[in-house]
Amino acid sequence: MNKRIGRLGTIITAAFIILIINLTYLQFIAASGLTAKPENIRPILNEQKIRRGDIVSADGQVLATSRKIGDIYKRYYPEGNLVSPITGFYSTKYGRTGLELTFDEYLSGQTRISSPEDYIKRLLGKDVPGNNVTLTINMDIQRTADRLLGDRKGAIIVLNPRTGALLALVSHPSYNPNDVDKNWGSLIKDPNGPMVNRVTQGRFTPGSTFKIVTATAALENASVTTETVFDAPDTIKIYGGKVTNFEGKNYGRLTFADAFAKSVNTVFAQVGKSLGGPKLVDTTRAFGFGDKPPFDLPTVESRIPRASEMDELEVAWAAVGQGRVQATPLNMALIGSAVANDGKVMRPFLVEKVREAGGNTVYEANPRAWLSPMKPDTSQTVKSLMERVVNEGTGKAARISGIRVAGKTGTAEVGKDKPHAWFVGFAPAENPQVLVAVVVENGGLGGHTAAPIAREIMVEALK
Amino acid sequence: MIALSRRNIELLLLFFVSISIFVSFFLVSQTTGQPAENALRIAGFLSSMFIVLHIANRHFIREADPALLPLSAFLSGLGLVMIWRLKPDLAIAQAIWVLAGTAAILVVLSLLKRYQWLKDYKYTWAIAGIILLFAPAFIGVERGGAKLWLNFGPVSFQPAEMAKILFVLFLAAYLEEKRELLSISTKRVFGFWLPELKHLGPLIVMWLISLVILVLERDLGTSLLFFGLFLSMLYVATGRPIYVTFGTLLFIAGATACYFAFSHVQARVDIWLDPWIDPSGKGYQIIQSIFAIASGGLTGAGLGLGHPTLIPAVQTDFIFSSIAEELGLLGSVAVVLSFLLFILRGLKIALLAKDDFGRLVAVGLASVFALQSFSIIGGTTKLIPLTGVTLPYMSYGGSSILMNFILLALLLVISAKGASQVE
Repeated sequence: MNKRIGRLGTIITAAFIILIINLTYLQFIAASGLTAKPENIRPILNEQKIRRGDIVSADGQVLATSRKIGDIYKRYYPEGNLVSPITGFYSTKYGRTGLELTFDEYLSGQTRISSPEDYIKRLLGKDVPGNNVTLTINMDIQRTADRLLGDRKGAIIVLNPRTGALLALVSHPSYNPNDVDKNWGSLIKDPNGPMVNRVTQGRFTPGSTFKIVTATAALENASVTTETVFDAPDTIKIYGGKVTNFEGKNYGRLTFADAFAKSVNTVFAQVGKSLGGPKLVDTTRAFGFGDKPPFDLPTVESRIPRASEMDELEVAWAAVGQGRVQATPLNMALIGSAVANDGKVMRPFLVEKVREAGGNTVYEANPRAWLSPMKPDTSQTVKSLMERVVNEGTGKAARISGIRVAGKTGTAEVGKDKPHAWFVGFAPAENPQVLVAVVVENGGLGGHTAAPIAREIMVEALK
Repeated sequence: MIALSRRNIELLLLFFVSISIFVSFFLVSQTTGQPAENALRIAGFLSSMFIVLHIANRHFIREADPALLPLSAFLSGLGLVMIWRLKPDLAIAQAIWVLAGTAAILVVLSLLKRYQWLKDYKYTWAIAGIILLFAPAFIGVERGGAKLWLNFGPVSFQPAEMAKILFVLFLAAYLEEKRELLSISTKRVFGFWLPELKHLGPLIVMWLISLVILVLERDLGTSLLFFGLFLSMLYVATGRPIYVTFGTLLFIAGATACYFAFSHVQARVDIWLDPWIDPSGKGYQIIQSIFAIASGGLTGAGLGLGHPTLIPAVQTDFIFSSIAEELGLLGSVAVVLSFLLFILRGLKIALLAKDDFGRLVAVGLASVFALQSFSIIGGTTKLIPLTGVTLPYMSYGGSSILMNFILLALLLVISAKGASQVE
């Protein structure tokens, strides 16, 4: 009998070793994968015990903070709708967006344990607060831009073209991040998309603001100079179709510089046709189309069809920013910033610094170039073209006395609705400090609707 | 080197167990904000219970195994810590059951120092066991889909727990008497040598009982437990693997039939195969258990710092998951090894027992303990389909605590006898 008792012991021992192997698998090998499953609410419960870090503007205004209610912390946004496209929201039910998502590790303080005290506190289950995030956003400019766009749908981005630092980011309509849990149903069903950040994730037909790209391509490929003279009829026929000027205007004959200032489609259609699809598309891609811009918030890429997918007529329309060309306001701002910054596009950013609750800096923005789509010479030429737009062309509404302003208007036709009004511009032209891109959905003429908004923002920013 | 006597080893081990119980209760009071005096009171109460048992061992059974009491003290102490941490209100009730268990051990030690007489009443145990097993099916209360409880006023009792020990006594006595007969093959059936059919009777009766439990009481766990117990005792007694093979085949046949006949058996197996088909419904409990265990990681969240209360019924069937979450892999493996050590000590007691009845009782008790702890730990970790049995010494539940204390007392008594005759 004893031999059999020994065997029974062996079988039982083997079974318990299997238990231990299985436990090792669950608690060690597969642990992180299982813990991360969305059905597991433990990470959320743990987070609610942590005082999440604040989000603060460049001028020290608190945009997101945590308040203790009973045992847990609740997120609170003192500015509500005004900055929700930047902060995003933080919800235990519906997840998180915006900086709450992209800087989650810093805000929740889960990045690293920097001091032995932190470690001991954590072992004891004590409250180790998250890190505070300081932005480059200036709330005076943000408020001005928000007020100017008003009830209209659209987007505004303001940045420093020399560094890539954002000064303001407005997307309308927006939402109140304090009420996301309460209003979730209506927010996600709203056809106006209040939770879409139009600056970084909205694609619009850029219209004539895109002529900055076409002009760059033409100048760098030496097919034109600013003084090249073109016929500028009301309509030109290309490949069985036609390109027309806005409101069917006939300009007779004029130089390339005048055509840019007056935004003459029939001239740019000819320029596009002689450039050809491949060169236009290459230049456009050099400005970041087809890539998601690196940024502190989630972005989408701007689009232009491949050259092989466009016939001559579509290339001609693409050259005036119509057809299947689709750009985010962020990308249009970056195109303008290349002109302002000697041909270089700086990587855009809006998080200046991340500090621990104790004051230690754990992250600091480091301005660096992202793209070099233009030669410095070309950028100077295009800058002079853009100054003429504001001085004597379609962008006169953006003129500021005593300050040289460069800009380009756009009136993007979108079928039967009123066109989108665009303006991309910067100032002072000789030493650019501020760049503004504005799009007002169905806002009409860029020069009438968007240029005055950009002007007031530049005035505010240069104060 | 000083050779410690068995009782002094026990005392030393109990001392360490006591310290860990005090520290654990104190930590829980700090992390959950419950009064530290309560922590010290419960820890002090538990420790004094074990000291009482230690003194009783010194008095009644000097030569008994020195590891069993400290192991069960450790497991029941950790169990009570977790219950206090999970549902503080239930901890007092559980402590009272520990008191009852202690009293039961004292009774067993004083009455059963000579346990041989138990085998003279084997059919009494068998009949009592059957009555206890099936009583709930007729007059019981249903909880969580299984009819396992009897209510006596405020106290509810799970008679299957008692029945386990009675069946061990019956089977040990029966097999001691018949094992020679059962080992001799007289008939050839389908190429196998089999003993007389009349001797096979109990095997078939046990098989039927197991299936009836499954059908009438909808309790897969208890059913498997009884059958496994029976097979392991039969194997050890007769040394004929054919019984094990044949019995297993019979049970598989029965279980397969049940799988197709009963939707609740089917549901259990389906959820085991893939709980993600219904993560917020039928799969919720096991998925929450897996999350709890996984989130424990290597060192655990810390006592009182995890979220084990997300698991429904965590204080009974899923107490192991809460330990794995808060004490990590280190803690969960420590618990598994403690169970294994307890079982192996039980088998060692069987090896050293001088009489076959004592030997078979020890084998049976160790097997019950092994089957039960394996099936619930395996179930909560999704190694095997979940069966609702309690984790010995740790789960909340009066009948479980009481019966496992009696099981401990029986093993101690047998070990004392074996040792005294050897030395």
